[in-house]
Parts: sequence; structure tokens; C-alpha cells
Amino acid sequence: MKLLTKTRHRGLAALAAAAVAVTGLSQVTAFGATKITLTEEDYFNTPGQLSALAAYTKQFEAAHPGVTITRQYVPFANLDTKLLTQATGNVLPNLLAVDNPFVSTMISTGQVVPLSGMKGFSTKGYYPAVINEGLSNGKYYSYPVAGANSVALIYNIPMLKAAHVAPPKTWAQLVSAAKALTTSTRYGIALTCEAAEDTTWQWEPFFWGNGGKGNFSNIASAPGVQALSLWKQLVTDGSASKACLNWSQTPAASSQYIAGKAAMMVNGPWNFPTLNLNHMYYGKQFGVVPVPVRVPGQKSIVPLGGEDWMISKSGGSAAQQLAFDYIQGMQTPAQELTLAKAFGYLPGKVAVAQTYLKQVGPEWKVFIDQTLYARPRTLGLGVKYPKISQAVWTAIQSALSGQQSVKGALSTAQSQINTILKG
Amino acid sequence: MTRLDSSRSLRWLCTLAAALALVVVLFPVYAVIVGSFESTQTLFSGTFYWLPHAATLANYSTVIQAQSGHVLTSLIVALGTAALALIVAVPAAYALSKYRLRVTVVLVSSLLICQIVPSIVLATSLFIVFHWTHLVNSYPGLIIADGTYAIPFAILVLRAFFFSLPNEVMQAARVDGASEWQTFYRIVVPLARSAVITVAVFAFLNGWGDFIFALTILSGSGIEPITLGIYTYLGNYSTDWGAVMASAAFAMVPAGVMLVLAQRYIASGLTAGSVVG
Repeated sequence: MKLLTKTRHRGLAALAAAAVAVTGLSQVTAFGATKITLTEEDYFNTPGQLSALAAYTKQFEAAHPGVTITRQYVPFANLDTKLLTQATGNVLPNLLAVDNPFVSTMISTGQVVPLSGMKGFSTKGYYPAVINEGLSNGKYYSYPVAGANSVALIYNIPMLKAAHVAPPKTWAQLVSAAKALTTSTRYGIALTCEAAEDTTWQWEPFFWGNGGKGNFSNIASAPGVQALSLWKQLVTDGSASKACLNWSQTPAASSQYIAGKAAMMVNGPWNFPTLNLNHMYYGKQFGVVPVPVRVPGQKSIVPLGGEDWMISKSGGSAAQQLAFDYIQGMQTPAQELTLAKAFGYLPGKVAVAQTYLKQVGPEWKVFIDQTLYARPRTLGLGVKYPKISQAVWTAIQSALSGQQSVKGALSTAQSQINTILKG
Repeated sequence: MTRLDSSRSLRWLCTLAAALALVVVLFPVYAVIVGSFESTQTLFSGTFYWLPHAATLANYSTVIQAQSGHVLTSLIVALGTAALALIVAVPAAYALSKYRLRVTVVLVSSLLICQIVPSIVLATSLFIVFHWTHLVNSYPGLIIADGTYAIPFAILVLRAFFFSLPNEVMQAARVDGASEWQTFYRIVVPLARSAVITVAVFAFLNGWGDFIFALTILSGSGIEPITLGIYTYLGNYSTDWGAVMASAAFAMVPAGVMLVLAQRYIASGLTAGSVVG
């Protein structure tokens, strides 16, 4: 049964096509010749971060008439994917603030410009680990956004006093302290062992401080086996909750600590505002010591966290220079101090960090001191780091959950890492 | 046991099964609503409270002002997706079911294949196409992207319905002197009301719940649907779960109202075409 002539169903098709075409009428953007708009993407979402960045932007726009900075918030979990999608279309925002393990990946897209050649660029005064985040083939690609951060052992002073325990300096002390602090309603320590980067990041100070190599090539040897056995023991002793397999560092593990369900945690200075909000103050309710080392004499080597500014090729050299001026302006000591305070980070320069310590208080001392020995996670590894990190957290999870022995889990990780390093 | 008894016990059994399924399905909604009245500290205390432990409206006061615009955006996108899906799918489904075209088999199978492609793959390629055609950062762009899932689904459901429509109805209209177009919009569309409303609701929900396309296609244009808005509270260094729950509860309202209004059509719309394979 043929009901319709050919022209008629062409009519229906045309209707459908017209509907699509009509909706296509969009986007008439006004773009004056003298005005320039720089786009920026980041994942910052705390009130302190937002107001500090907004204040700087306002100041920058006032100093550069005709320039507008348009900021776009992208959820933390999705920024990397979004930037890579934009890179495929050559439409990256002019400015991007990325989590530092992702810097190498962005460099590898070829869509970001080195800062090394820019007028006024300088690496002088920075902690090596901070500025080296963006080092690739002898060129620097990034400036820190608000300095850096790292982790240390944060402990509950009243709980330690009541249990007659001193803040642990070595692994043996950590094990016995955690055991003594564990009661029926709380654990000695809150670990982070979820299937994500923050698990590797939390374990790195234990591994690196014990002689682990930056590229994890000796993970199945003594440094790795001892470091993972320590975590395993904390769990089998019942000093750390097995639920840590689902815990992120912030807010899951930190909330356990704040709620009094854990007496210690390995965590970072971004928790200070939340701790204060919950009436926990440094020196009275909480103290900070470096992540314990296996034997006295070893030094805690922490990974560095934080975000880095990068500049994309978008918009040509005028836009790139302007974008560079924007991030260069944040590298003055005064701006560094303001931003670090607002973000809860440490300033990226050694001298500024010392001024900072005087201004913000002694709870920062451990974090500032250890930054000198810190290690950028991607140094020498570049885009391989995220893959290696995944092998590491998988091993940690499978050992702590009991799926594999510590040695078994680490040798699996070792063979994966060897393949990644060769590739 | 009499027949009456056994049918009654069967009815009870079915009710029980439905109630159980409902409990499982509705529990997350319940947890979101309770959670939206809790402080983040309570949410992380490790104890689940069946009623808000220390009820607070703080989350709602954070959220309602910040997210109202995003809810409106979501509404525009969802209604736009529904409209686009109907404009394209109703005629297309009618043509694919009532006219013999050489390409029917190819078209219908490609509609099915469309639904297999994961949205993240589609999003990346659409982003590039939209960038060329200046559709990124725009409502039309997002609506068309959401339509890539809503339209094929709508066509398939409506096509099944149109098969169940006896051809005699159309022939009678034609005998009465109606043109092909008049038959379509005077007779066929009104008869298909339930099915049309059903696919409109599904298309609406498709646009309402979309996250991936919005994330990929929008940046810095001020257009931000609620699915992205919720993520304002989920960060690397701080997560405000109370606000996340309150946003989710707040965002349920418009979609919920829509579903309640449409629900009496949905059941008949989904089953209408089911007897004809």
C-alpha cells in the first residue's frame, strides 16, 4: 500500500530538516576590535579561592582597559577530560589552571605555549619542586596558581595526651601509637585507600621517605614492601578502619578525624579552615608532625600538590602575552601571600614562604620545611605518571582488602610499571 | 482453596512485590531529601538518621539562590529537547511505519545503532562539529546534542505505536476528502496523543538529566544546567554534601511535577504499540 507520492515524503523530510536548521540560528557575538576577552577554566570552588581570584581579576582588568577575563568553572572530576576535548578542537581557553599531575599531559597535546620565552619569565626563588612541575625538554610551561601543598601527620592532642602517647616519629612508634589510641568508638588513624590518585599521593611519603624511587621502579623491593606492610599492619591491627578502601582524603578521611572517629590522619593544610570551624585549633586540639619515617635519620619526602597556570595557543601572540601578564602578576610576593592564604596553600618561593610562616602561624612550619625536599609527582615521568599511579593504588587496594599478599600485589604493580616505563 | 482466594492472594503478592521494588527505587530519593536537611558534619558522622538529626535549612538557603538560574536553564533545555524530538520524530515515525520506503530497514537499524554509541564518544565529535558551525555555548547546540538520544528513541516508540493504528482510519479520512497532511495532523496525531506525550516526557528527561553534553559543549557562556550546577559543591579540597543533596532535591521538583502531570498518558503510551511486533 503506497499512500504518498515521492514529493510528499520529501516534504516531511524537509520539515524535519527545517526544524534542525531553524534551531541552528544562534550566537551573534559582539566583539569590538579594541576589546579582548581572555577565557579561563579551573575547578576552584571554595569561597576563599573564588573571592581571591575574583579580586585579582578585577584589579587586572582595571589595570588593562578593554581586557575582560571570563572564568569558567569545571567540576574537578571533569576538567581534564574537558580540556583534552577542547585541545582536539584547538579551542582551549586562553588560561587554564590544572592539577599538577596533569601538566605533562597538557604539554603533550602541543596546544600550550612554553613560558620560558615570555618577557619577564623567571624561575628565581621558587622551590625547585614547585617550578619543576612544568619543566619539559628544558622549557617551563607553568607557574603555580597559589603555591603548593603537601601532607603531614595531623594528630588530636587531647586524645594523644589521654593515651599517654607522643606524636610518632617512626613507623614503629606510629604502629604502637595507633594501637594505643584505638578504642571501641574510634580508630588510631584514618587512612585513604580509595581507588584514586589521592591514595597513591598519601602513600608516596611512606615509600619515597624509605628510599622509594620517584619513578616507582623499585616498588616491589624493600622500600615498597616495607611501606605497604606498614599500612597493612595498621589495618590488620584494627588501628585503621578497613572502610578506608572507600575513603577519599578530603572529605571522607578528614571528616572521620573531625568527628573524633580517628585520632590521627595524613592530610594537608587545606583542612585548617575546616578544623577551626569545628573548634579545633593548632597547639590545643591538633598538632602537626612530618609523616613518620621507618628508621630515625630518614627524611620524609612528600609529593607536591596544587594547581598550575598554563597558557594555550588560542588567540595568537597578543592574547598569549596578555594571559602571561595575568599570571605573572600573581607571582609578586604580595599576591603570593594573599593567594596562598585564601587557598590554604604554601607560597611557591622559599623567601615568601618564610614571611608567610610568620604571618599565618606555626601550624604551617612542618609543611614549609618539608617543601624543600618535596618531589613533583610527574618529574621524569610526564604523562606516564597517571598510569603508574593507578598501578600503585590498585596494589594498595588489593593488599589491604586481602585479595593479594603485600608482596604479590607489589610484584603485579612492578610488572605493570616496568611496561609503562618502557613504553 | 477457592478461585477467588487464590486470585486475592496473587493480588497481595503482586502488591508486595511492587511495594518492595518501590522501596528500593525510592530509597535514594528519601536519603537525598533527609540529607538535604543535614549539615555536612552530620552526613559524615557515619550514622544514618532516618529523620534529619539536627534539621537545618542552611543548605536550601545556600542552594536556592545559587541554583535557580540553573534549574531554569535545565527547563529550557529539557523543553527544547522535547519539542525538537516531537517535531522530528512524529512525522519521521509516521513515515517509517506507514509508507514503504526502500531505505526503511536501513533507517530503522541506524536509529538503533545511534543508541549504542556512548555519549562521551559522541560528545567529543559533536564538540568539533559544533565548533565549526558555531553551536558551542548555545542552547540550540545543547538541545540538538540531547536530541541525538531523544530523537531515535522517540521514533522507535512512535513507530511501534503507528503500526498499531489501523490503516482503515487513514483511508476513511482520505475518502472524506482529507489531504495527506490533513490526515496526518487532524487524525493521526490526535489518536497518537498518549504515545506523543510519552516520548515528549522521555525526551524532556533526557535533556533534564544530561551531564556529558552540557559539560562538553558549554563553557563560559553563562548557560549552565543544574546537572553541572550541582558540581559546584563537589571539589578537590572541599565537598559540601548538604548543598549537593539540597540541589538534587530542589532539582527534582520541576521534573517531578512534569511526570505527575504526564503519568496517566505514559502507561498507555508505552504499551500501545506493544502488541504489534
